[in-house]
Amino acid sequence: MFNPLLKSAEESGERNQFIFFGILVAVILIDSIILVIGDHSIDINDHLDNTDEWEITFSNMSLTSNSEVLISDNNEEVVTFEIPSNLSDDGWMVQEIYILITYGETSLGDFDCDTVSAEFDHDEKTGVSSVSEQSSGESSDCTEIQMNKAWRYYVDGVYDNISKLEAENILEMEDVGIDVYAYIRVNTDSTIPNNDNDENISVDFTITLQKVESITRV
Amino acid sequence: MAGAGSTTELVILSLGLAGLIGGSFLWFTFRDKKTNIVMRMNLLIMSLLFLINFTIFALYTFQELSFSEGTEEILNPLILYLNMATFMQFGLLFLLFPSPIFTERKPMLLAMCSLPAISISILFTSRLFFEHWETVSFLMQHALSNLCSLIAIRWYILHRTSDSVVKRNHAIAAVLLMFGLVGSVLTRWPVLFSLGGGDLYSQGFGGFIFPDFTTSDFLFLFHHSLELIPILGMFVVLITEIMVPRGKRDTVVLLLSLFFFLFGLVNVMVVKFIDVNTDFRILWHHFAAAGTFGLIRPVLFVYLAIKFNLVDLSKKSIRNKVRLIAVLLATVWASSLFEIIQAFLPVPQILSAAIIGVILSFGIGWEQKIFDGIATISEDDYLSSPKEIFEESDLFRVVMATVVFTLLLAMYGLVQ
Repeated sequence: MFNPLLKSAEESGERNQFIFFGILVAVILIDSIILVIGDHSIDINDHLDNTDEWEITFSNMSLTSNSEVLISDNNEEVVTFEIPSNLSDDGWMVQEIYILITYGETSLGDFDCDTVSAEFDHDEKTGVSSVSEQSSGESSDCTEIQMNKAWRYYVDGVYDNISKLEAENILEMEDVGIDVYAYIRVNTDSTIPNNDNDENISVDFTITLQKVESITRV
Repeated sequence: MAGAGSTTELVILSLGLAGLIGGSFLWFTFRDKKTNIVMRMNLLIMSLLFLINFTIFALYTFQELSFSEGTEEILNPLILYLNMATFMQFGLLFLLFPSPIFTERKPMLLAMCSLPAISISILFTSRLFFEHWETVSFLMQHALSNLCSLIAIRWYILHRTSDSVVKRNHAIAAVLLMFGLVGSVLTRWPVLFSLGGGDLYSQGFGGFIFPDFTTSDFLFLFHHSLELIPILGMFVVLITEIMVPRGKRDTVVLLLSLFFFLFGLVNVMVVKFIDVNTDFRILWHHFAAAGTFGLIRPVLFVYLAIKFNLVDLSKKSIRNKVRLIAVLLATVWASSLFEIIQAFLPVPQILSAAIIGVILSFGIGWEQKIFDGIATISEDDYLSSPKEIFEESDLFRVVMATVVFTLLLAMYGLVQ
């Protein structure tokens, strides 16, 4: 019934086959021991131990800075905020950039507020799209100018259909270690001729950072 | 460096190769009635394997070109189930090639029928006990197809150093078949020595998810243990081919085992040192995994078919058609190879097209000589096969059974 060619005519054939099986069983046993109790087991589980649901908690942190700049008529100043790159070691990502520009009419007896226009941009590292963006603004009545750019905000909760690796890298935001540039321009308006040549502008940066704090299997 | 676009082009080229070989093998099976029926059955199962691969590559292409997330959700299980259908072809080939393991019709047909039965049993049993039963089932079936490579290894160990040319042919043919079927496992051979860490292990799992920790641990060990069979087999082949006397040496087997050995070394270095999220890694993963069954398997199987007389080359009309297919295959294969080179090295399209043109123009001059070389040798290189084990109508039955089984699995994947 069996193909006679698959039966060994010589003793050496079966002996070689036996040696192969012996080595195979030994290798399987050694590998299994290494994988179950050795250091590699943790490594493998990180890659393979995926489930549908992970409970993820996040931490938030804000970086703030205030600058006062004196800008003369028809001139532009750039105010820069540097987000330290060493924050990436702890896993921090930029969730929101918020810039508030305030000013008042400082010329004595002038009842006409100056016109201030502003816009901002930043270095791009990840290229991830933002969910909301207001990158410029203008004011001619001394009201504040608000500009912002926000990426998805993650709330603590259960995230499904992702691997552990994906859970660790879930934040889709801009990286830290970037510079944010606010460009501010002033056009003085005055009810008194030659009375108003510049303006004091206050620039507040608020950078909200977010990182994955903990991942727990559900 | 090229990224996802190159992957799509590689998939399309692999699709072309699978379609070309699947279609032509099927044509030869039914057209070339002079060849032994067992050899034609082998050729038929190879053709069905390529045709299922062709469908898988078509779905991959559709998936890569589609931008809809919904499409991916539908296609992923479908691809998974079609892959399961290929494992049945693996099993059939290991049972039948180079020579059927049974010499009588009844036990042979029983063994062949038991393969889809095992496949369906695993599917239903997994469904009873596991939440992610389709993944569990896939991995079990993949692992069992590696178990079948024990048959090829037995052929090799028993007959590689035999004084009989026919017996040596069986050993060589069996190991070439193993290289063709489980080549992607062989590219990860460093797992034998626990090298490459979790990345290399997970490369074999194709990013599948596991239902829970305990199951994943058990499944992982089961899958990994059976993967060690062809890997250890590759080392047996490599060592034997180096040690075998010169007169018995087979250059193709030696070069192939060396190729898989070196590929494994490069693969482990790429996996270890290049970040998982880079374009290079995505492309490499495709090249290492899909590339082996999309590019290496076709060449190996055409070589097997020509060298071991699965197609009767003594008939001039058949011989001319085989030559034509060989030229077409070389053209598509050269384009695929350049696509891979171009993906890793930024060579302009126009330059690579020109190089392919130059190589092919030289190649076509040499093609007759190379082809005649293989075909001439093949006249002396026969495989023995038991008579009256199959009848003519069995070919049609196998085609229909495979179509029904594959459609059944595909429907299961679609509507589960």
